[in-house]
Amino acid sequence: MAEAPKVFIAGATSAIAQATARLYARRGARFFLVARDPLKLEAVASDLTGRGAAQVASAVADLDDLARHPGLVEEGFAALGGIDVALIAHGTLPDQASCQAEFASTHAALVNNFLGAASLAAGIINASAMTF
Amino acid sequence: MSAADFLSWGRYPRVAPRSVVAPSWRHEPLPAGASLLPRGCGRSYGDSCLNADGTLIHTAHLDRMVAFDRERGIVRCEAGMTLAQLLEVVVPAGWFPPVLPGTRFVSIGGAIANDVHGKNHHVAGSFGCHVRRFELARSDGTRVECSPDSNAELFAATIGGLGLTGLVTWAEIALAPIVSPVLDVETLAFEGVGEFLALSRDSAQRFEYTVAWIDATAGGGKVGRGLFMRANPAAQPGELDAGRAHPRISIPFDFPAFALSRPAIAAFNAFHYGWTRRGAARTHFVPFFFPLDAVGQWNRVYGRRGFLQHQSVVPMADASRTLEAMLREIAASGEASFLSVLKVFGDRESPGMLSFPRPGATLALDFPHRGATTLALLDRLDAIVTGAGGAIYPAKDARMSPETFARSFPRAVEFERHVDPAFSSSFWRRVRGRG
Repeated sequence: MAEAPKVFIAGATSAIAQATARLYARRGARFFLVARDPLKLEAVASDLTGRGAAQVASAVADLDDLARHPGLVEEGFAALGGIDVALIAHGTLPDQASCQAEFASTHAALVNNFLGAASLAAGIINASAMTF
Repeated sequence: MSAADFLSWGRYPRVAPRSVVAPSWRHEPLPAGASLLPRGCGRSYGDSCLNADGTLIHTAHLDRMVAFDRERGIVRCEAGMTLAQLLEVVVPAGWFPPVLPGTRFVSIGGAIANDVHGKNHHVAGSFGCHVRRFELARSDGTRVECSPDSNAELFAATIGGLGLTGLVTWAEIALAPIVSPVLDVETLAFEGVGEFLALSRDSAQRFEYTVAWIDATAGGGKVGRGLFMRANPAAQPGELDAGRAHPRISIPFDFPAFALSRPAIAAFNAFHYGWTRRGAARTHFVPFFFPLDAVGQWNRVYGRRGFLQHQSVVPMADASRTLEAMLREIAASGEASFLSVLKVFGDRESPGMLSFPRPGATLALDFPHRGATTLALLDRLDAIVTGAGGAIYPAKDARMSPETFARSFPRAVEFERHVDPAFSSSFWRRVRGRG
């Protein structure tokens, strides 16, 4: 593991992502952050910079839009010069009752919590493989 | 949520808020409602951090850095960040908060709201002296950036303003450079208040940090005996670490009442006076600045009834007589103070309308709350203090009268104009006579 890792975070404004990112920031990590809300993203980015991150780049995106994933991965690689750590932290806690009642809710939950994660993970791994 | 979750440090009075809101982002609007009070770490001893039947805005999640200029030592951070968290970030970078109170587990917002002071007041003044600017969120939806040059009145009202002017979302602090995390400390014994004042005078120029512990259980010929500590940062550079993050041990339950009897406390004080080593020593800044932080929840030593803190400042002009009068009153009362701290404040002006630190000698006492007798003693101490032209510190107070508050803070009426109409606290309602 590099001393100053290059960290890609999807869902960078989640509580877990913020806490994890802080640990990396202390080691002078470089970040590419993706989240939906620009104000929250800005707050997280400044926090990490203040805590010692060597670089913080970011993109505003709704990660339910799977079509945007390849572009985001490419942007992350370009900004950091590679990716050492990927943290996929976006997601929601679906409502069980509504998921049982209508498939549209279930579908949305699966896109958000599974397909999105799979898509990003596959994209990052494939992009990493290409650099070897 | 139970009442016990949001008590104050002295755990008296035992009142509960109606609701607690904990915003995650500083740009969120304030909750609606008519009685709001920001809540940081709840380390105020009395009711200034309580809002019975009202709403507390708990700032624990507002702990982000906003900007840190590592060249100039200027840090901007959200007001829920604690001094402990701030130290962890800035010390390794060679910077140090110029003023630190006796615990690092306080929020930046709390440090501003109480305009806290430390062992170096005679050099550095109060915390508010090093606050460059902050953003205040008001209940009308506005956000006001305040500094000595911009919205200056609101700036002066908010420093020491006990959270009553609105919610501080972020603050910018000027830090001081640090090359070593250790200090060189000298400890000397003194036999009376006169000797303490002389030691303070002699030490003020040569030592950046001075404080005394005094045995308030000693009576008769031993009145005013204590230990004087004076320190300077070590000159040689050392590895800059912020010390352990968390207390090693914690008090898991309330101590029983017999542990707090007068004979027990007197014995503890006598032991401390007899056994503490005099002379020179070198220490990391954490145990020097924050001796009680080593034990988590040490306030539980005072049992379920909690304790009452009394901190006052009296003008230098008659300090010797006033302090001796207070110590004699305590010794005669049968109430015993565990930890009594004495310090001389310097002349550096505090920027807040309700700032407590001012030139004079400050005495901090704590008493297990035994009921009417304890309250009566503190009323007698208030009379001595205000009679001498002094003041009582709101951050420590659970029971001063509206008259004592008005005499302590001549700018209270001026301050009141800046109180946000939707903000209030149990303390404020009490000292303004609104019950």
